[in-house]
Amino acid sequence: MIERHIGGSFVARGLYLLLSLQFGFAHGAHADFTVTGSVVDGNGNPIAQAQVVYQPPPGSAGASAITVFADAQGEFAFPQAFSGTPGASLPLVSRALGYEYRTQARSGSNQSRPQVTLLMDRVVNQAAVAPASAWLRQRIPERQQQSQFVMDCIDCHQVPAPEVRDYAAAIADMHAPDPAVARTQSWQMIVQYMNRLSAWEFSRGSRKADTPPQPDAVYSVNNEDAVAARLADRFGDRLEAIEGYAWGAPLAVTPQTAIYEYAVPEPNAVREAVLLGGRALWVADVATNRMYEIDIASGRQKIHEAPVDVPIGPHSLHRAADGGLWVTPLFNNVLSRINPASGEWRTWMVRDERGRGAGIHDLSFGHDHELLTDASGRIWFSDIGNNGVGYLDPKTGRTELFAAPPVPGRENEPAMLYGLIMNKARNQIWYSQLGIGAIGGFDIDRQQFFEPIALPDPNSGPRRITIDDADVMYVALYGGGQLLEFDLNTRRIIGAHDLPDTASAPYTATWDPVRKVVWIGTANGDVIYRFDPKTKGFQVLPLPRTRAFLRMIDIDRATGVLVTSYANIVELVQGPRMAVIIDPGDNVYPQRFAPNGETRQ
Amino acid sequence: MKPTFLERTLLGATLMAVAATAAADAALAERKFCFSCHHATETGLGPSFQAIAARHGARRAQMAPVLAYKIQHGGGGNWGVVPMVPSQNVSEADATALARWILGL
Repeated sequence: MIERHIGGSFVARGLYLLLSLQFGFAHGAHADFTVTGSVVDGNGNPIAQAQVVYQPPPGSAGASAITVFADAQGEFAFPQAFSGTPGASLPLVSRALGYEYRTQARSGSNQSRPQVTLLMDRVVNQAAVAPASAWLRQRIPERQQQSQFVMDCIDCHQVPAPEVRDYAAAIADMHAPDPAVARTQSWQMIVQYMNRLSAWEFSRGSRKADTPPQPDAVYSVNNEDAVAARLADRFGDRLEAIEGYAWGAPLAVTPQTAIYEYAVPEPNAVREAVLLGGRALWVADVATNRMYEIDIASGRQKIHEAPVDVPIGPHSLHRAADGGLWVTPLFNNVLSRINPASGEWRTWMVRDERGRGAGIHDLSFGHDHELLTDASGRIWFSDIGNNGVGYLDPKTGRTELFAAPPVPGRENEPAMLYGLIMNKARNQIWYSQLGIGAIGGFDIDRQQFFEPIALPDPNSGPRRITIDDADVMYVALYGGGQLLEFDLNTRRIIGAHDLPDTASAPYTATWDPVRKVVWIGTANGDVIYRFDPKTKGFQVLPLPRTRAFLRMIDIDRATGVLVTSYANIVELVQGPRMAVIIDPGDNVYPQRFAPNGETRQ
Repeated sequence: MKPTFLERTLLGATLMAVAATAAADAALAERKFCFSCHHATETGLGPSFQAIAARHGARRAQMAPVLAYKIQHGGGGNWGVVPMVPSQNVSEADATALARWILGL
């Protein structure tokens, strides 16, 4: 059930409370059952670390799917009870790279504690579980070509997503006099078509309904012929099978790891998600003026409509120390703050004294992944529209914009000033420039930029960034498939670390202030990586879904669960649109997450 | 090379070329991104709507469901060597309306 919620009226809140209470009552009236079991192959051998996915019937309370991992003996247990009476067959499947799920068998006669054996067979073709990156890194292994390809195509969709593979198969089926020419023509057609869709998507908020999209909108491919030629060369067959892929590092999972996925009603273009109060998932919908609020226990959803006439496209979410949630716009210069308790919005048109509007991407994050303001309370932002940084003083509404210095040799490409963090002393902000492979900083007191740092590969694609409690900055290199470690104190690069899969298109890096690790979300790899700065080693947390096109990762301060989203944002892209909560199952944080919203000590 | 976007002009030409009652379908074709590849009278990435109507218009009743299927599921081999992209966002009803409209041009 969805209710439209504008400005947090007492009536709406009262209704919500009433419905929640009713739902809670109905929920409690059902019998509950727990599910345990094991995952084995045809010889009865355990399949350690296999994923076990429980997908409750439609209309059930809570998450749309819950995933746990088998232990070394192949045994698994779900952390919570499910409501209702278990049927003869449970909505369970198992997933593991190189295996296919076959069937389930029940043992034991206890109705409230069914035990299930899941049978999987070993298979050579890993297509059912392998991520798009598995194909990409095999087909385009040269690193510079790989990074360029990621930068050209994966802003909008995975490559090769199932649709891309289907199209490769359709081309291979053509009876053409010269198959090589046919391949090139076909892929040229696709690239032009993609540019058209991209221009449409990214000009939504800046054009009138009867105006055609502008072809030079951001994220269009401007070297069409080269991209098409490479596709024709490397994706020249049916792309049906993938063999020999491995996650590339130890799995960061335990038998207590649990992944909760929440579908958001479509149509939507779900972007980032945060968990507030241990119970409410707030999700940005970049296609509209809306935020969704999902109650994790009941799965009930509320819509919060921004009180503006223009589509702002809620994009990046920033928790603030005062409990507020700041929302940046994809489409224009309307910055918002929502009070999650009351649902009330405040909005600012961010313009400087000359009337120039800012194209805000991120606000400055501190080391605990909250909004960090400077000593005067000013909110600093990355200005992707003007390739600069700026601030809004929320008390006075005053804004100043500062243009970033050019990066030598890279003056002619759109710089796309993107991620933003603030140092501990709150007198410096640091940014990434996605379009030209550079990073840079700004001294707030002196109002001066530091000399920018160009990374060797202009297509390395520095994207979302994070900072630890000792002023070390970590940058997800989207194109390059690396994690950059940079010391703000010395202004030197500590290292650029190859991810276990360099074709995974790492979108985001988030410092975990309690575990003292960096979590890296990928757009093309269906995984989250965990980086330990002490050992410089990676671990892998595989997600239970293909096309898991990840955006920002937030970390719940009380329980340490990771909160993220599958954000297949372009309307015509197929794939899940979900908010996701991940309990790493390591019991490091003082409180334990509970999917009924009642965190425990 | 950047693509040339003539949708606006071509949409206008299409609208002028057909009866006022068909305007909704030209608008539907625009909404469903048909004009990315097809134009009213000129060959684009795919054949022009006029060419499709000229080839199949005489057998409209038989060909409308065939073209509707192709709009939804894609395919190739009939107009050259470039397969058509499937459009999973187009419903069967919309695909049928679009096919009938194209064949009536």
